[in-house]
Amino acid sequence: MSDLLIEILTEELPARFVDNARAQLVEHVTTHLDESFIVHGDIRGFSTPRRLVVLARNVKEQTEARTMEAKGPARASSYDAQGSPTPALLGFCRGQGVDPADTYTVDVADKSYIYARKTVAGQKSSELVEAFLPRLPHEITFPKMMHWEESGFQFARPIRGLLALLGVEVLHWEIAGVQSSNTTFGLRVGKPKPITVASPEDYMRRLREAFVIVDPAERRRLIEKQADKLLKPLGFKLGDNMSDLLDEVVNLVEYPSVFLGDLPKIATELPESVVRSVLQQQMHSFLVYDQNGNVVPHFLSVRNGLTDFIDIVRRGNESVAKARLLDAAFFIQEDMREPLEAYVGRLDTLIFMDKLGTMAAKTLRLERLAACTTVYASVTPEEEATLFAAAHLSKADLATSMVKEYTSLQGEIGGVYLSRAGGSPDIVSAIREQYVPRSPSEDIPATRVGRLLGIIDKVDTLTGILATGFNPSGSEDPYGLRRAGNGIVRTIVESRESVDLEILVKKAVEGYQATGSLPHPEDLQQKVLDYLKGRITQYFKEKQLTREFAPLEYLPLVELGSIPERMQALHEAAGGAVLVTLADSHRRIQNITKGLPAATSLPADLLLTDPEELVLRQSAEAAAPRILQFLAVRKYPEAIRTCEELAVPVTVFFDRILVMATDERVRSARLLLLCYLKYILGLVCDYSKLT
Amino acid sequence: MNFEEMVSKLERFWEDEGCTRLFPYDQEVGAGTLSPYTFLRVLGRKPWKAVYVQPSRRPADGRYGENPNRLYMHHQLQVIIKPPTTDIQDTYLRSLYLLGLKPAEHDIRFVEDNWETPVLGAAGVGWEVWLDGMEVTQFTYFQQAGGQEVPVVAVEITYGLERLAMFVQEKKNVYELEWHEGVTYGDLRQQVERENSIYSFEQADIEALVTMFDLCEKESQRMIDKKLITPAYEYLLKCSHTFNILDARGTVGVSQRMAYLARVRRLAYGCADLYLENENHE
Repeated sequence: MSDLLIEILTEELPARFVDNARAQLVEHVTTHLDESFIVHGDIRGFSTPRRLVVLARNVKEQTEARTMEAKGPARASSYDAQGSPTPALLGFCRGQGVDPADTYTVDVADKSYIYARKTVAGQKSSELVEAFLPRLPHEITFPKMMHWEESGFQFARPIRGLLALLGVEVLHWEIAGVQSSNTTFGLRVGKPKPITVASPEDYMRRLREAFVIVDPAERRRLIEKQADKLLKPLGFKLGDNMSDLLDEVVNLVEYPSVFLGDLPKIATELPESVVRSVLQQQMHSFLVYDQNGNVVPHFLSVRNGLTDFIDIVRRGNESVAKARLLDAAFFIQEDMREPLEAYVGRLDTLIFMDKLGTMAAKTLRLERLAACTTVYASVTPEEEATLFAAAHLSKADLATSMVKEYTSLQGEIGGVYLSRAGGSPDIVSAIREQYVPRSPSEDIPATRVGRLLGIIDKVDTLTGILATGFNPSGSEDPYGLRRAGNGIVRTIVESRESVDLEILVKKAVEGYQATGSLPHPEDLQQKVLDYLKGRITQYFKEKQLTREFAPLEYLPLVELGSIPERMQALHEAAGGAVLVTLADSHRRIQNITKGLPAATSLPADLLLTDPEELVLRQSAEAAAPRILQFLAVRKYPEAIRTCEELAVPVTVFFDRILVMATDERVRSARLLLLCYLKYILGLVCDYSKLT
Repeated sequence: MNFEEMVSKLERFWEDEGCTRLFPYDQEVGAGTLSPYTFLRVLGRKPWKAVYVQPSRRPADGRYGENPNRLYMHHQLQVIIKPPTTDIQDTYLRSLYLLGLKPAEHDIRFVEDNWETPVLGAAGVGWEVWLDGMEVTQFTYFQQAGGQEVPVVAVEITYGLERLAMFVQEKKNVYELEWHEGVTYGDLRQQVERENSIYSFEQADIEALVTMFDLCEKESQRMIDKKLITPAYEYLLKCSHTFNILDARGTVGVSQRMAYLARVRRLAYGCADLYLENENHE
């Protein structure tokens, strides 16, 4: 048994690609080893900004001999009339290296085929590995690839070295003009010196000596430990939710050394969000907080290299931080010479999206949508006024120098400027929250107007993107379509907000018509609604919530926000015997009325005569208005209980009545009754999906 | 080390690496990439190694000579190597060591930064190089030029000379840099910065510039039709600079802006096609 080590040495890979590329490498090496019948132990991936590494433990030097069965031609075409082997059989045997006499027949689905069994001798693992090594770099894909030499081979960045060792044996391979060797390179410090590696264990040791820690988990631990050591004695800590930034920093260094820098005085005069953007996004550094969660005038950063001369590195970073913060302060000061309102007038110089007109047009559409108050249940006149004012100012900050320079601060900067100018706190928070949630882990807006502004902005964006004829498919989300869709669904469901999406989407389409940019208006409203329904289904699937509400077949979209409460009510009712009967009844109703539309009412002269069907009609007509009433005031347990009252009459009906009567008029009357029940029950949930 | 010494050292370094040292192109450009020494030479298959300083004008970045970091015109040292050598990153790092930067004392990083100039149909992938957190160089592998995938990749190394000099001389304000012993950057440039900022933000005659753009575009197109690449490209550069002033003047609306860029791009593609046609004839 030996260990197998493979290293692809590159120029600096984009940090955001590294984790995924490492996972791909591990996956492909595992597949190749298994497909080559090489017995191996644990397989682990390692990486730094400059290398992708995989280590397979306890790889057997030889594969076992094994027997293989191969399927040949049909028996009918394998022997001629004289019983001699045909060219087809002979060809097969030659290919498999067996004698025709050693073949046998197997019947596969009424037909006989020739089979051959052959023994494959054990092979040297090193040869098998050498056979798949050159394929590995081809199999790793990146979101953005490049070419750099004449073969045109594509990778994220140029490959500069290849290394593979099976125990002490050096394996040979070649890709994009690079020959493998038994050497690698350490941390970039001065003149590069090749390091000769004797074995996989030697690789880890040698690289550590050359200041490279190949295990990203270890680098992460080191950063955390060093940060702790610096911050704890001072009573400081890092902020929450630093995991993403930490992941990025881990992939920016081969050997981390943490240092604490001082922030310039100007930092205290700037909004925290601005300081955070400058440090985290532009400098990949961390803000530092005291125990009460207040920012302190320091930042924490990670050097790629040793602690020697770290004061020089710290001073350099401090002056960069100072220059950038001064720059930001300058922008804010310049921007604030005018009120936020003044920037609304400049939105006609900014394109919203290709083919979709300017930000000024978008602002007009948002104002229109904000004014459609029938869409949002129970908004107060104050909320209505705030929403309109916030919609009017929502995009203004895009025209400021600050947001042009720091795009991720959109919304935030508008809020800061308005707040500093003494604007209404409600409008300020709505402007700040309009882009929230930006990621699946971020909470939805805290204020009602913020949520509504976010929803109308996203519905407008979604409608626009689909209007360009863009066809959402695959895993890519180039225009943020999925993010917008998920944001709408999450905001409504998680806030229990009642928003009539059907009308909102209709108004959004009209808005584009009014502002004169709608390249593909065909079926747009339906396309948007279908897309949203898809996101809703996906949302409930991902949350692994029950299926009763996922189809939304009967549930109007306006009820999206009520789903969690309905689920809670259903959860409480679950387990009762009546609910089981009801589920069964709903299923039977759906089966027999398949393809028929739900009926929202029954005609007075419906041809029903048998007592069981009359009872059912009576019960249904008595229950319906009460169910509607309960739903209107969101009393879901009561609505469910009222549905449950129908369980017995439905069961009795199905037991005694033959729905598919020969008399067509009787049959259709009974079906109509059931279609009415389908409607009533469906208003609450799809009980048939209960198990 | 003053500014001119630093520039000489870098130029000499790349000359020793086999690059032809050229003088700055004698026309206004927005970046070293627009010089025909880069834009035309990265096209096609012919090898090319060059180093040159290129003053680069970005009217919208002008700050009346009052901002310590932002300039109407800054200086780039442009290195183009086609095809790139396999140790190009190490070679670049050695050029920094030559300026007295000791590798053990600093944190030098290659941080992902992909670059594109839509106006030239050019794009590349690479990094910005950080020196203790400060971006001092743009390091790019050309992938496309003139709207086409390049058949042979060129590497473009663009040093921001003011940034680098501020680092080397430990100065916080660009105007305090020493250019020559006893002569500061401010002595040479501050008044010029002020005047050019006033011109491009306040004084530029919009109507005249619009006419100039039209005339230069026409002349460039006429030369493309005559298959004279150099004059065609030089008039394209005039178009590009004229547009940059109009842009800084704040008079170009969004759709207009797209239209102007498309007009320059069409000329760029025309020049690129001619250049490639020429190379194929040789």
